[in-house]
Amino acid sequence: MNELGSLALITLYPVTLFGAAASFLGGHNRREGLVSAGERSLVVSFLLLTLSVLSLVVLFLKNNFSNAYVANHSNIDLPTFYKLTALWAGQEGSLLFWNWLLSLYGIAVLWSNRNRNRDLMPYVTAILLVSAFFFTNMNLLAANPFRPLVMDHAGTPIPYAPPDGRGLNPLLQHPAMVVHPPVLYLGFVGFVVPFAFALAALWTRAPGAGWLLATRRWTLFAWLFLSGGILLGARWAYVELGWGGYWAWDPVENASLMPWLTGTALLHSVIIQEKRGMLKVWNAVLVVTTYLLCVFGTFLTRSGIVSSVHAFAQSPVGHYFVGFLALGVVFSFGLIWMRREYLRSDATLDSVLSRESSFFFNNLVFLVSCFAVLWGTLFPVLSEAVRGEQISVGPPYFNRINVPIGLFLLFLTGFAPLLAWRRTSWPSLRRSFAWPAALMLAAGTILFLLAVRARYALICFSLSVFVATTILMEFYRGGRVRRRQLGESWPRALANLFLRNPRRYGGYVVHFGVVLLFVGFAGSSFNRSRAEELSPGGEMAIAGYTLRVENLEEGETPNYDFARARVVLERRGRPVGVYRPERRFYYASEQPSTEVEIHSTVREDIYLVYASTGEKGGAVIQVYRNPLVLWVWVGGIVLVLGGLICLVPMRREGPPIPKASESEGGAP
Amino acid sequence: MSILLLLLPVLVVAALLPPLFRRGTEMRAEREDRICALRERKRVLLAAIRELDFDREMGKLSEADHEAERERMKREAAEVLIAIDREEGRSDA
Repeated sequence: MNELGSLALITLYPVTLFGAAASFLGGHNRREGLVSAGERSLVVSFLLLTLSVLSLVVLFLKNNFSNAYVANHSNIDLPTFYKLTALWAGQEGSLLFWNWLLSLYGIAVLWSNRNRNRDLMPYVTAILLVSAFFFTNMNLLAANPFRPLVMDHAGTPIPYAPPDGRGLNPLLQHPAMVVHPPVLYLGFVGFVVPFAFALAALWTRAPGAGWLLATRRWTLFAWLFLSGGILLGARWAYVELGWGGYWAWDPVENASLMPWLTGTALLHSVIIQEKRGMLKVWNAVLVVTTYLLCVFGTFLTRSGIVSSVHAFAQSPVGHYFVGFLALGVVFSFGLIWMRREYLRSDATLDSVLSRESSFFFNNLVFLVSCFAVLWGTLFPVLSEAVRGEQISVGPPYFNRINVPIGLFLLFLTGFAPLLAWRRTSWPSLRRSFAWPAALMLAAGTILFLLAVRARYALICFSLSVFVATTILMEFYRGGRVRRRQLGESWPRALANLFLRNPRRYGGYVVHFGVVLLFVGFAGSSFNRSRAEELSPGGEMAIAGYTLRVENLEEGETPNYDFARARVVLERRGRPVGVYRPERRFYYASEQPSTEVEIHSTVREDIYLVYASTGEKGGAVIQVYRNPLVLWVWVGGIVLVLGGLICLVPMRREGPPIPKASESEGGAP
Repeated sequence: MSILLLLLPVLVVAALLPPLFRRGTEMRAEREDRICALRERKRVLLAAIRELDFDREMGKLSEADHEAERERMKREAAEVLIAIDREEGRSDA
């Protein structure tokens, strides 16, 4: 299997090169034979990568420790479930997996464009194959998952197969970590599709916004997976890392946030190009930036350039990434520069009070936020280059910059939908604003009177009320129009709002998810924690809760040994649950790990960690009281659901809605 | 396994090369792509006009702004329809 997987990778190398060249020449000379050979190369690449991936999976399942990657990421007693997912546990496997997903997207793009965009497709295929070539190159030369394990014998390396492997990193032995990497990678890799179409359209000077329309769903699809991946990563960090939070501004977290920020900006700005023919250069820049940030994110994660909790991935792949990124930046931005005439806007901004100007502001703010995150993430690298020592800026820097930016974005989330395209009249704006503004002020006043003094949290809760009201008003006003014009019942009118314009109303659901997320984020202003060593019968109190350790136990499994506390949690004297926080020690990897327990309610989480065994033989229990965390997870689910609604094809409508005066006496 | 290892490169070459030996195969006409893009543009414009009407009914924009923007969109839609007719006329011919 090692030979087969390795041969498949080696064969892939010329296939990607040949396919890219054939596609490009075929498109340039308009030769169907070459174009067809290029497309076949994409299919063959997918098959070869599938063969490689399956070979590696079989090596894991068969405990073949003569393979260095298997020996370093698995062991005999590792549950089968985790053996399958160990495929992406390390650098070599995850780069192979990245490449396989890229080829999978390639197949999907090829199939969905078999009868359209034929002029663009040769170049799209070429760009996809060049990307695949880059990852294949890295897999073969710097991070080969089929490298045999060798030991040094008198200066000569000889093949070696240990009786057992070193095991999977304990932090990765969690269900969220099974789903998180593939979902995140589907997001990262997915942005290659709009990137390839944008470059193909620029190269061929394709007229109109055809490439935008062709890739709108792909962009949304990738964004959805990226959002889901980030949320799953946050969930994993929360339940697995045991430090009581879900976001630490870790470089690897930031690596996924940056393309998300530019991708979100892109989702908004493409609407302006589609509707008004404006922001063409901006959109081309955003598409390119988003994909290159995805590659940059993978580089940050996999090169170990900035130390982080993910630093287990340090290796020499960095040079390859830098080369690919440099090529990508020069070629893409060079092409945009060369085609600047072709990208000239069809219209100009009519008024500051318009939907397009609010989208433009939103784009600028997203970009500022992205740059701030990029600066903070790379600061240790830059400081090392300039001063010779790594200086990390840490969460206070990121929070100081991004919290006000986030609040401004939250405001725009509610403000922009109130505006019409081109220009909005003041009377209309006053009418739309009255209720949301009044409720926002009322909420702020009530919270202030209830002794909420944390400034940003107070602003965030008030703005959340404002945005939620604008969203509800959009549904109410939209439903009322349908009822008045078409005589529909309320449930039917609301359902039809989604069916007739899923992108707009799905977008509002996404915005509502954002509101819930922000409420959850604001809750962190009120976090509390304490730690104490408790023996059986010992008690500790925090924020109206009392926790009592009933007993302590120790035990073993084939994979790890553990120490566990049985904790009874009470709120105001009434028991609310029994929890068993645990500390493990994994034999194969010789690493400890904590298994936290969480009592979760709409109001707050009580987060229990078995931190260590204390000096008196008791359990040192660290307890956190984290308000409103559940809102983050629910908000994430709502956001993804809204995104899925946006993907639903628009149902065809009848003739345009008549004016109120034209439809007196009911609607058809 | 060793037969499979030998066969793999042969299979790959056999899959990739045949299209190169096809004679006189020009790429499919650009016209189909143009018609496809124009139809997509028409669909987008019609949806935008409906959304504009909807926004007017929701009270988001004044009658004058609505009329001006609707006229602009209608003009563009008409141009797109003419372009589709022209392209389809060419392909019929």
